[in-house]
Amino acid sequence: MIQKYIQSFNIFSEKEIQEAIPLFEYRKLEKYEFFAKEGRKCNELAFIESGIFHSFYSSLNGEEITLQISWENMMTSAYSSFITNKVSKENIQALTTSEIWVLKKNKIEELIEKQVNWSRFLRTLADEKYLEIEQRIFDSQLYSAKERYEDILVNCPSCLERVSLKYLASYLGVTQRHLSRIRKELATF
Amino acid sequence: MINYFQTLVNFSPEEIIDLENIIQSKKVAKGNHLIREGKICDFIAYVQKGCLRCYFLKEDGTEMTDNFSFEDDFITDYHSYLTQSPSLQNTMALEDAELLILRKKDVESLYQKSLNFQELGRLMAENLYVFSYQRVQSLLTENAEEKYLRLIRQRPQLLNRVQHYYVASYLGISPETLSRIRKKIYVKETKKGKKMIKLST
Repeated sequence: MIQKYIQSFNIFSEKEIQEAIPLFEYRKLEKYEFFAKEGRKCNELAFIESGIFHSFYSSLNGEEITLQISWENMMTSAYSSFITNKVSKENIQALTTSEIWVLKKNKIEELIEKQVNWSRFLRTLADEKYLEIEQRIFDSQLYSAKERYEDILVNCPSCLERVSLKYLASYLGVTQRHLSRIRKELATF
Repeated sequence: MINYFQTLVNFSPEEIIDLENIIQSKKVAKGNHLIREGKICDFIAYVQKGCLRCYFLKEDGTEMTDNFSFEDDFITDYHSYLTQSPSLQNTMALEDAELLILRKKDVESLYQKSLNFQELGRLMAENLYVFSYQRVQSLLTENAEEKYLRLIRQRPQLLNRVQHYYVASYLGISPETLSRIRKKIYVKETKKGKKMIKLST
């Protein structure tokens, strides 16, 4: 799986991929266990083999706000902390028992010195992360909660069964009651 | 712009010449657009002089201001730049603007030349990410007053150079609500006996 993921960047030679695979560490997280925590530095990237994660932070009045939900075959990280080496403002928590492959930043930095392609990897990753966060801006500004719910319905239908309503509602920026209404509306079609 | 790049990466004199060779300059008169919805944005611009506003047109025809750029800021529709898809945004000059332009095809030819250019590209992309990340955080966690206070702290030029209704559009509120917020802050600041924030326009 990791191999496929690294290949999907279309950057590395077969030899580079074989050398990179052992650098990923396998880790299993229990439901509600944290991968990254507010106030701590995050110097790792996690490739999700199985499970679902949500990233969230607290607003000034203490409310938890879900930034992103990630599932199988996606990369998650407190990426802002990862690139700036500052403490993270966000938390990343497993919502189900999860298995991940972890790549540490210092391993990538060692590789960059030998192989230019790892610099390209980091740039491509930054580009992807940018597109993801920009999507989040569009989502919250231009699309309704219903449209975004439908988006998850298409891209990760099983997420809707595995993630509790509380977190889904927070991700969509609506109350749980509002979310129930959306679900009812869509169910009648 | 090159000075800024040199703070990110240690370029050789030859690399600096390579960089200088791809820089183009461009002027955009007040009221004209640098980026247009529906067109592909294949460049990264650096503001030498002037002030520009980025906005989206909603389906109901209203404009939603997403960003303001001043001297030493970079402007691009990075989504369009990366994916070669039509831009969803518009960027208009609020003052006559002088820009330096880096075209995508030229930037990519530099990537082939050396690791330093790769690293510059990576750092620029990472910086853009951090900027957008802060924007999302602000959108999701701050109310209009908090957003306004942060905006004038980070971009004090706004107060003198950007029309009141554009600032309101950025905050997602009506100009009347913005006036109320300004008044409230003014009163608070006066009570604290602090140096008052100048409220222009």
